[in-house]
Parts: sequence; C-alpha cells; structure tokens
Amino acid sequence: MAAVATLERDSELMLRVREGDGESFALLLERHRRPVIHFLYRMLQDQAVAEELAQEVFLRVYRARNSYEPTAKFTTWLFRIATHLALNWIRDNQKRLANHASLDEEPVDGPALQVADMRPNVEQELLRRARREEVKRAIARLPEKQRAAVLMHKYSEMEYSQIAAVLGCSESAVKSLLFRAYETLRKRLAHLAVSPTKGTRSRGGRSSEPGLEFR
Amino acid sequence: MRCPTKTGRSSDLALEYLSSRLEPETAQELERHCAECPACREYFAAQRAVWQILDEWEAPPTSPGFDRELQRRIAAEKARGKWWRTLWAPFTPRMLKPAAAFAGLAVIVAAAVLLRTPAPVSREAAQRGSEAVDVEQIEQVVEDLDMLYLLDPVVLDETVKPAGAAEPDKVGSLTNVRRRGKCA
Ligand SMILES: [Zn+2]
Repeated sequence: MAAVATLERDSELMLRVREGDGESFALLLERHRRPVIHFLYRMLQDQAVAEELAQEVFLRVYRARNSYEPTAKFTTWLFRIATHLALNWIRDNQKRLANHASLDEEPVDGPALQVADMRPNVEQELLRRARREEVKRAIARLPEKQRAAVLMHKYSEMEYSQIAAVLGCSESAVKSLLFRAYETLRKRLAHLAVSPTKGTRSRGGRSSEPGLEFR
Repeated sequence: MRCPTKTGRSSDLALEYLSSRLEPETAQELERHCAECPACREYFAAQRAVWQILDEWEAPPTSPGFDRELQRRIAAEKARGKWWRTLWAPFTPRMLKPAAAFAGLAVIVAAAVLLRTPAPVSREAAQRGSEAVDVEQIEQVVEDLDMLYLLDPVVLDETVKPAGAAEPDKVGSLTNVRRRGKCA
C-alpha cells in the first residue's frame, strides 16, 4: 500500500517537474538522493565517484522530464540509470580497479593497530573496521551483476520484479543471481559470523552452535 | 511444513525470510521446522549470519554540497540549452533531422575516402603506421557520429519529440548491459 502511494507521489512530482516545478524536483532529490548515492557507493566503493555519478543520474532525470512516462516505477527508472552508469564506469576503469584491491578507506592494519594504548573502544573500533573491510572486499569481488542484484536486494530493499526491470532480465534470473551471490558471500564471510559487540566466538565457529541460534 | 532442504526451497525461502517478505504464518512455520530439523537450522542460521554481517557495512554520509552542485549543473545546462536553441534557430525542427542525417552521411563518405586513399608516405612507413592511423580514423568517425547522435536529443529535447515518447537514451539505456549478455 505504502509502495503504491509512493509510486503515485513520485510520478506526480515528476509530472510537475515537467511543468517546470523546481520544488517537485527538489523533493524527488531529497527522497532519492541517499538510496542512489549509497547504491553507487557500495557498487563502486568510492564515495567521490559515487557522488559524481549520482549527479549524472539526477541530471539525466531532469533532462528526461519531458519524456518521462509514469508507467514505470520511478525508483526502478532511477536505479536503471544508476546501474547503467556504474557498469559503464567499471568497464572504463577496469585497469584502475585491478590496481586497487580495496578502494576507499585506508588499510586497517597500518600504524593504528600498533598503538600501545589499546583502550577497549579503540580496539572495538579497529575490529569493526576490519570486519567492514572484509565485507567490502567480499562484495567487490562479486561479478558486477550479482553485486548490483545483492545491493538492490539487501540494502535498497527492492522487489525481485524491480531488480529484474533494472537489470533487464527475468525474475528467476534475478533469484539465481542472488542465490549465487549470497552463497559466495556466506563462504567468504563465514569466519566473521560472530557479532563484534558480543566479543565471544561460538565454540568451533559453527553456525549450528547455539551462539547463532535461529530465531 | 515440508523440509525446505529436501524440497530444494531453502534458498528461496531464506531470501524471503531474511528480507522480511515472508507471510508471518509461513515464517512461524519455518521457525518451527528449523527447531526440529538440524539441516535446515544450520542452513538458515548461516544465511542469517551473512545477512547480519552485511548490515555492518554502512555507507558514508553524502557531501553537504551535493544539492548545490546539482543545482549549478542544471542551471549551466539550462543556459547551454538556450545557447543551442539560439544557434539552431534558423533551422526549423523539421529541417533538423534530415540535416543531421546528411551531416552524418557526409562524415561517413569523408571517412571512407580518407581510409581508401593511399597516404603519400613510403611503403615501410605506411606499413608501420597504417594500423594505428586506421584505428585512429575509425575512432574519430565513431566519435563524430556519436556527437551527431548526442546532438539530436539535446537540441530536439523540448521541440520535436512528442511528450511521453519512449527515448531510450534519456532513461539511461541499458544497451551496454544487454550487450554483455543475460543476467544468469
Ligand atoms: Zn528441514
């Protein structure tokens, strides 16, 4: 229900943008800026590039205001543009990407780890950063389409049908992309399967142990 | 509930369960089943663990100047649009498409002539350089054609295209994505 309401509001806003209403464009931007930038950031793991491409996404939306048709869900349309730009960027920067295994943040095993004064919160922060780096690496190593599908499913909470529309394939193809991606992630991240806040490792690290009991 | 591991539905169910898309009754059934079935319990616990680990990755905040920069670009684009319209004013919209097509044709013909005409250089030099030159020339032609193609939507944006007409380029066409093959 809420989704339908949002659909109406987004498309109504877009139609008003067509009439030259800048306020409506600002509202659309306010609503979708974060999801688009976050998607691009996770896709490319470079905040500056993500924001630059997001600029282009919204510029294209603005340019297309006259040809916009409310038949397609606005979010789907937006993510199609974003995915298209992200995949093109990856294609054009493949060499650069190959030279930078981890892209955005400094390595966690630098001098910071040698600090003698290891207060618990510092230690915990370093641990969190290390875990985050592993998550980023695991996602960055996924094939582009699997990566895009997982990011839309996990972080953008999009439906299979929307992801399918964005990637230009069937829903069953999307499911298959997701199965494979999550399975790969499970293998790569299994060793992290203990919450950093608990600070204890379930015996043997096995997921079937009570430490990770199924709700 | 029939055992999802045995019926091959576990991956499907896990995706829906973890993204909270499963009907509450089905979710409860699944939980009850997992309490009794070690295989499913292990599988779903592992999937849940991955799901939770992925939650730890938060995206950084957006730069405060993002909206301002976008406004600046839109304003610049509007100004450029006016400039283009002034430049193209002598051409009526009806004239523009044939003109662009003719220009494109002219580029192709010119390129063909350039590529076929032997350059006045020594045979050795020609052999050495021909491949590079050809590639350069072809790239230039492609670029020129791209320019003409790009020109079209920019200039015709508000004048010729019927409102609501499908314009793949403007909605971020997925040509490249599709060209790379199917999803699966
Ligand atoms: Zn079972």
